[in-house]
Amino acid sequence: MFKYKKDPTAKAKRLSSYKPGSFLYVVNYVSQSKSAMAGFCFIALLLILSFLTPYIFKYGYREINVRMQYALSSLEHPFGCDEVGRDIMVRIFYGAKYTISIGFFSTFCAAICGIILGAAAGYFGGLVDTLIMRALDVFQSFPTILLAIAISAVFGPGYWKVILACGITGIPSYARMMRANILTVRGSEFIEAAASINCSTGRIILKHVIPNAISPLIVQMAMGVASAGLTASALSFLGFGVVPPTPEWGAMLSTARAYIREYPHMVMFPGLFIMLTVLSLNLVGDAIRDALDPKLKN
Amino acid sequence: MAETTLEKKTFLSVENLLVQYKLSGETVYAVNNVSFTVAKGTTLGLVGETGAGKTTIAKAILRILPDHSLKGISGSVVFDGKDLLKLPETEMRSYRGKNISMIFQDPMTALNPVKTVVDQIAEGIALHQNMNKANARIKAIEMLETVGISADRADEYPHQFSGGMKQRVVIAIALACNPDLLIADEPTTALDVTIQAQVLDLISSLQQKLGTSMILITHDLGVVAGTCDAVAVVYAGEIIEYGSKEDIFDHPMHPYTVGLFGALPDLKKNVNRLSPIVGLPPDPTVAYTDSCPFAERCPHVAPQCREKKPHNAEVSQGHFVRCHLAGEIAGKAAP
Amino acid sequence: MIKYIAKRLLQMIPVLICVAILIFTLMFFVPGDPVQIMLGDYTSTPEQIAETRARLGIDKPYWEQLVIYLNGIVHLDFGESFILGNDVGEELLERFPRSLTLALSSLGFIVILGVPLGVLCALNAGKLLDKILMVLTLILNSMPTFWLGLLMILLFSVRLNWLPSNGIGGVEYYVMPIIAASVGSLANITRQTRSSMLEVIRSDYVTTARSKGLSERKITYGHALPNALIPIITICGSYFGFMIGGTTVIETVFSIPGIGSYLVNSINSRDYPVVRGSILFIAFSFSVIMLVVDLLYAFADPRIKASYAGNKRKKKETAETGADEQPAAGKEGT
Repeated sequence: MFKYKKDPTAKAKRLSSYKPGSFLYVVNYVSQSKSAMAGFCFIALLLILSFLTPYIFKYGYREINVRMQYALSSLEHPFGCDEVGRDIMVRIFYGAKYTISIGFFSTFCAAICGIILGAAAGYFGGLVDTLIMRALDVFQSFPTILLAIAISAVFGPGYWKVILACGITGIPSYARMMRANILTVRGSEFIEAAASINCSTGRIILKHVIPNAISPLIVQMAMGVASAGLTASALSFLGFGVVPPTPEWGAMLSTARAYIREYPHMVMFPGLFIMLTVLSLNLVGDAIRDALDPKLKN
Repeated sequence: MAETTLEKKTFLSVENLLVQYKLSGETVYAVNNVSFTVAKGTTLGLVGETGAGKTTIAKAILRILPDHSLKGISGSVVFDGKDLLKLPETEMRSYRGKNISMIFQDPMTALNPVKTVVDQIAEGIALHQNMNKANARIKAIEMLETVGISADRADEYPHQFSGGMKQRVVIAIALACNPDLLIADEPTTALDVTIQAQVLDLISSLQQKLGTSMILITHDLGVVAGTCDAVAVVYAGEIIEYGSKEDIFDHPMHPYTVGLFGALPDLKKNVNRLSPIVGLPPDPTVAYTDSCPFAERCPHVAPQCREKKPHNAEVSQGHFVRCHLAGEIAGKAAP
Repeated sequence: MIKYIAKRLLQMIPVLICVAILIFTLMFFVPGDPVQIMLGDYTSTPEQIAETRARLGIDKPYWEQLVIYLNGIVHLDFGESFILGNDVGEELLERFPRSLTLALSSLGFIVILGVPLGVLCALNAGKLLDKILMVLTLILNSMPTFWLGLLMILLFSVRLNWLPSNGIGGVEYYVMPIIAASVGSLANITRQTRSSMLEVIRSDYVTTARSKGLSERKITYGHALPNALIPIITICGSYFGFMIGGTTVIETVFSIPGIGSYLVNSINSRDYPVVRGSILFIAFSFSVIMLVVDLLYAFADPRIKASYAGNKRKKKETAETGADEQPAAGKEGT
């Protein structure tokens, strides 16, 4: 019941100098969260290592060394070696870019397609709306992973095809969200005002509707990256995603599974890195969500 | 009841009540050294702006302040000879709903959406009057009829009722066990203007019928004039003026009280413009220990107002004012 | 209510037919020839291949095959497996109970453990127990199920030799798959219950309940929890759907002959009738689950129940409360 003045501590002061919801505000909010920064640094470090593996490490990710087959951890090979003597650590670092980039790209694709479809459905209404929403109903009558498997089965395995599979599964939720937003905004008076000064439909959507609906979409995207990465590695694990010998973590686990009784170290490390990456993405996502939607904060 | 012979006897007295919250690392001084008494069968009005600490005072009496943000509570709330603040929680529970009950501000959110209204009323009855469920239900339906809701709607859910009806249900819950003290926290603020009068009449008539004492929290001076015997004006968590209704309405002493009346339209005079109290309520995170919290907004501010906190002075019998310049202003502002 | 259920069931039919057509079409254009994979070697003569194609009925044009397929679906005939030659419908019915057992027990595990843990966290919000559980659930939530499954096999089967690592049989075969399948969602439900509970605990009606003099236990379990559970039901429902899909992964890890592993294996061997049949079957059970969830939702929340029952009730109500609101309505009209 109290109306409080602004928190006078320095942190909050800096934060309050930005407009809530603006890009700088979110960046500032996230940078003030220790856990989110830890997650961000981990992801950034992994990506840097991933691209620099050829220059940093002694062994290449494809370098086969028959004498080192199934080697356990050692100074030379901190994570040990796999079934053909490739260094697991180098492979894991090299493979980081797959999981992370699939997560980002597929979320991005899903959001763009979803926004366009949802905007079209919401704005035009009528037959367009019915067709789009019924089509999405069909897509939503599958559990996510199953839909991804079905799509991968059609297109076959491969990096871009996984992105496509994970992307398509994400479309319905963005489209529904966007449609709902458009329907709310469409009725508001400022849209009528824009139309009254002869704004074109496309311009109205681009300049007025999307900026008003962007916050929840960004939250959804922030949370989506981690789950898309997880789905992608599950697909690869089942053999429908990125396939060996590419060192994608799920694919590495899929191979390692055959040797679980004799050489468990092959199973440990790829999974550990999937977990840490997903955790980091979740931490950053949580911070972005808190920044944009304080209501959801515990 | 046995005490009816001792009418007008003080049976609730609040002494030096102090409540502090913590909010994102800061201390909020919500209630600062508040003291007042309520006599049997009378009504005390707590008047003040939103955020002045009125609801906090009410909830502190019942000890239902949210644990997670409460920092400290001290002073004493003596009810029927017992200090409620010192009672163990289990014993305090037997007072809530039975001896003291509360009507909440917003009937839209005060009822549990997944329970039928009769269940919500019967719950308290079964607990405090040792009734079995069937009897409690019968009593609850009687209670519903008392507040003007027909018995055939008893098994409906809150979402099936309108705002005014919901507030009637809340009143039925509060009065179900014939409490000695009823705390009504802005019972009409959330309601439509036309229903406000109905609900207030209902509360007053039931209060008189049952002989209940009442603390009425409001920012509506008209309501105070109609129902209260004594008035306490709350500002920044302090009672800055306290007295009988006549004292406050006819001889307001504190510049804030005077300002409150100035912000009301006077129907007898032809005024073009209401005079609002300038400025905003003070920052509750500041402890006003060596100045008057109203100093920044006071039209009569004097140097000593910023240097010393005014103490509570009795200007006439039972009329207390917390202002350095009480006497002078009253003269100037008198209509 | 019955009307609503019937309406929802009828709505499912066109969606499922679309799913069937979609799957069929996608599968038709999938690269890779099932006959090549079936015959295995590359020494088969063109005649042999053509003969096999004719036997399987995949030499006919798209439309003809689609009509035959849809006709079969309507008569609940999913066709015969290319590879094994047995009836897909029978095989699905034999495998489905295993997948369902897995999904249902995982869901049970999640609800029975996750909801109380969430309540526990909410009641101890900010204390050490809550902090530990929150960090733990955050980590578990990020754990890939298949890796967790593998780790469990490593510990409980390979090292300790307590539990069988694959196949089906008694209860002991289900212990690890259930735990592996549910830990992530369990962590999530704990977090969701906690935040839902925290929100509800601070709501006004809980203060009302407290002002009645109820005990904390009654307030928590009688007033707060029923309200906090409403959003949890939806989440549980979506997890059940997630579980049904997730069986593909878990069944592969633990080599359980359920629908999920059936599907995964048949995709690799291009066994079209099996792929179509199992996807359609999963989509059907998923839709039924979503309907059940919506109905449960109605039981938990009288507001939603009222909206399902239709507008009849509402009209009656406004007629009754009319007296109370008439002045207000009149005012609005002017």
